[in-house]
Amino acid sequence: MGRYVLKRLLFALPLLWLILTLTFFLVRWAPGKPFRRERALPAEIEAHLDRHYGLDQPWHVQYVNYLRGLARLDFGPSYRYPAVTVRELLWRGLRVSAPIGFAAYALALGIGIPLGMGAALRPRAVWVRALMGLAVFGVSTPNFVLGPLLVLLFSLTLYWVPPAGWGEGRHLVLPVLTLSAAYIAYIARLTQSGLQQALAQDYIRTARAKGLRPRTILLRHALRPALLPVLSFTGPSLAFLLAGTVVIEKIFAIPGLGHFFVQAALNRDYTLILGIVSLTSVLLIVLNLVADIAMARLDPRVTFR
Amino acid sequence: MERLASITVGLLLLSACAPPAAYFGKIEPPEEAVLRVGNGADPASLDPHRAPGSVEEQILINLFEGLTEYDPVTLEPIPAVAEAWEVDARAMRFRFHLRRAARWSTGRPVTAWDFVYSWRRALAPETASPNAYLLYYIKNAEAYNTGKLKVRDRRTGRFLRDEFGRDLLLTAEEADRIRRGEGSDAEPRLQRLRRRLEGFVWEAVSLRAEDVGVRALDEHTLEVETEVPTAFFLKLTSLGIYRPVPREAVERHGRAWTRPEHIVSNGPFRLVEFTPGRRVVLEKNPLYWDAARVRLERVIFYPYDEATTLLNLYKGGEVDVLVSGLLPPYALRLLRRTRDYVSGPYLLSYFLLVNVRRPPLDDGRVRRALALAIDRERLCRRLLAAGQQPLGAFTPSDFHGLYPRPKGVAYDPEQARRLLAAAGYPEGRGLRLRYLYNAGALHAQIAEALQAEWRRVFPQIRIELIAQEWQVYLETVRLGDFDLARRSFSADFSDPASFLDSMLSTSPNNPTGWRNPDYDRLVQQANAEPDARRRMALLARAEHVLLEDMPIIPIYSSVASFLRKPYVRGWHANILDRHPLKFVVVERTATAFDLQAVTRAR
Repeated sequence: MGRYVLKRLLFALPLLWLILTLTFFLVRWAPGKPFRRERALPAEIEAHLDRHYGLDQPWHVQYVNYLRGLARLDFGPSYRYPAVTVRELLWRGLRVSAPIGFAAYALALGIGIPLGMGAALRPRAVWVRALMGLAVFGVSTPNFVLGPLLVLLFSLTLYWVPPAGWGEGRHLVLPVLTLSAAYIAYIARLTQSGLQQALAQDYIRTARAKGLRPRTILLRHALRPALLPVLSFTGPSLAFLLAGTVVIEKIFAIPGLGHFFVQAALNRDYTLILGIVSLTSVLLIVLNLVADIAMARLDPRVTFR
Repeated sequence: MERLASITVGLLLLSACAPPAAYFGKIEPPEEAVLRVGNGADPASLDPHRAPGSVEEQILINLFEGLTEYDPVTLEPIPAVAEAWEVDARAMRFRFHLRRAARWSTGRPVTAWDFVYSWRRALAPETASPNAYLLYYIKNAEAYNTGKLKVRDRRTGRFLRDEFGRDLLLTAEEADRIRRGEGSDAEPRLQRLRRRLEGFVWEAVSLRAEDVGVRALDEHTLEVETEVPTAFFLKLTSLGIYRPVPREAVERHGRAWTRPEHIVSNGPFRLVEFTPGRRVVLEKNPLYWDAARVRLERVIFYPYDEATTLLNLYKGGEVDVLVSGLLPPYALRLLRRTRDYVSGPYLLSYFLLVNVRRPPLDDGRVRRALALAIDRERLCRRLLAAGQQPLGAFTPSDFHGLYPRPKGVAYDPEQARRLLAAAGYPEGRGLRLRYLYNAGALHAQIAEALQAEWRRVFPQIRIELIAQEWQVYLETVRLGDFDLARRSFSADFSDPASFLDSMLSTSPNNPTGWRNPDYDRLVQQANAEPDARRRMALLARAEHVLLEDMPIIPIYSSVASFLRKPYVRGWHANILDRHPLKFVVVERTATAFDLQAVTRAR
């Protein structure tokens, strides 16, 4: 398995390089510059700023310098926040986005899996149908509608939780609810169909015939394979959640990676854009790998190659 | 997507709202003396010399105290680090007497040397300060900052002047080429310079930091010499870029000196936290000389830029006051009826840049016709709910009657039709114009409204609206690739010159291609005029020239408009939207702020 992991990671390196290179040139190609604002700067001052940040160099020189820095994990200074480094911003953003992402996904799993099991086992029960309906409402309502609706109800009418902001536990409530809503229905459906398939398999009948307790059959023999689709769905979903969700962070004024990504793009903060792109790519690659490994652990039919 | 979100909340807010003339949302003063401000964006830098705009200024004027401070209502200079000052008769020499009690947060006294160091640093080319131009009134400041050379007459040892009485400035390249006798007819500036220098034995001199006209006479006396008479100099000394920075911290920590763990400041507050995207937290500075007067213990600035989110936070009682310009336009009509709403005049002009470099707008009649065809009254009434005023001139105010502002253009469709027909476009036939604006709800609405206004008067005109993302828009304007482009300009200090300087032929903020020597001369003359009334008259004449030529089409003047909880005192609407927090109080006692009474009253 060690060799397999190594191989995957080695394959990931050229991919990362390609992503970074494309991003590097694309952002420089976009019209505008990091220091441009409505008030135009005198030419001499702009020249000083460019020199200070090495932006007066030709692109290929900047590119080589950037890659050199990156080799030492130095993402450079942010153009938007001169007193802060990109590495620091990434770390801060991740520390905000990751808890929200984890919490939202955990909540989605916690509701989605039991709900999916319920739907597979007792598809006609009233509670299953009610909750499933709610979940479908959650997945079909865009988060930029659901978020404000929740704000209106819980913050501006009931005054229970703050409508936006970051720093205390109570700030987590609405973004996590909004974010998980989109995933609950997915997870429930994946669990449901997986479980229905698994329950129809011959080995389940064998297990029943052996006289195993229904509980053991369900939890040990049916659920394990049934959750494989959920697991493979988890890798990329979690990567996107951890890397920050632009809309949610905007609506709830959360200083996470998604927020910085948008700001960086609008401000042409070249180094910050590149930093976030690399972090997101790494997260995506690693979490996909972790999901694959976990799959192999759960399913004896999958082997490392 | 965001627009959809705002509309969703907007509609719901409107439907769920309180009767008129009540307060908006939750009114519960914070437990401690804390003020929570919605500030609209993250500060790019808290270094007074590197901070680009008003978002930063709002915070740093409370961290760093200048020679003078803004009066919270009138914004006139009031004593701060300087307790007194003298001005000579020609308004060229200013002497400031510094307060002995003024201290840095390390305990070290603030001295005249701090200001000398700071202003030199602000002007140093390496600092690359975006606002250095605000210091150019000081002697030799511009030459030092831009690296330009002054020209010394070797016989008298004096600097040569240009036609406006200012010292002549040359780039090194220009000096070389004049020496070598180069310069064709295609380069009028070089020609003019050569003519000016003829007959002189001259040398080009580069200026150093020591040459900048600011000196410490002793520890507590600062003397400033200006390039030309500058009657309004004391309006400048409250600006962020004029505030002192702590040499020891700057030199030890470099770019990182403004981080909370390194920063040293001399104002009523000190920085305790800056988390990008989340907040900036200030705390009362116990070593401040006037600390007894400061009533707030903590101030939190929130950087959120989403207008709906900020409004939600305000309504939910998480924010106590918003700086101007952050209210969502869709909610204005409702918010204006609440008692939280505060508004007042604000020095901001909304206008169109006109590209005079190419046809058809190189023809002054076409420009004037377009300006005359806009019914600004209707536009303001229908579209701009905050109380914006129709604007016919470039400057948005008469500065309390001190400035004889020209009337400018008014709605006159007949005259507009005549002018356009005379220019060869009867009814607008054959006239196609590209109107550029940055994507955003308000700018789009204004663009569409103007399109309709023009069509009403000239049925055949074709206006193509082009919306661009902010940075793309800035670049397009800079390159001059437009016919008309929307622009707004707010004053740096409360004086018409702050606007008029921006249309000088040398200004980087004039991308219209318009240059008029008469205009330049009048503005430069005015800026060197010691007598305040004559100076205003000269500026008004300059503005008149500008409005005759119409390289800009004025639309409206803005207002300061924001929400303020009833328990916040000392935060006023003023023409630059500056709010020194030294004077702000959060009332929490029942007598000073009787919540029951306010709620019951309405």
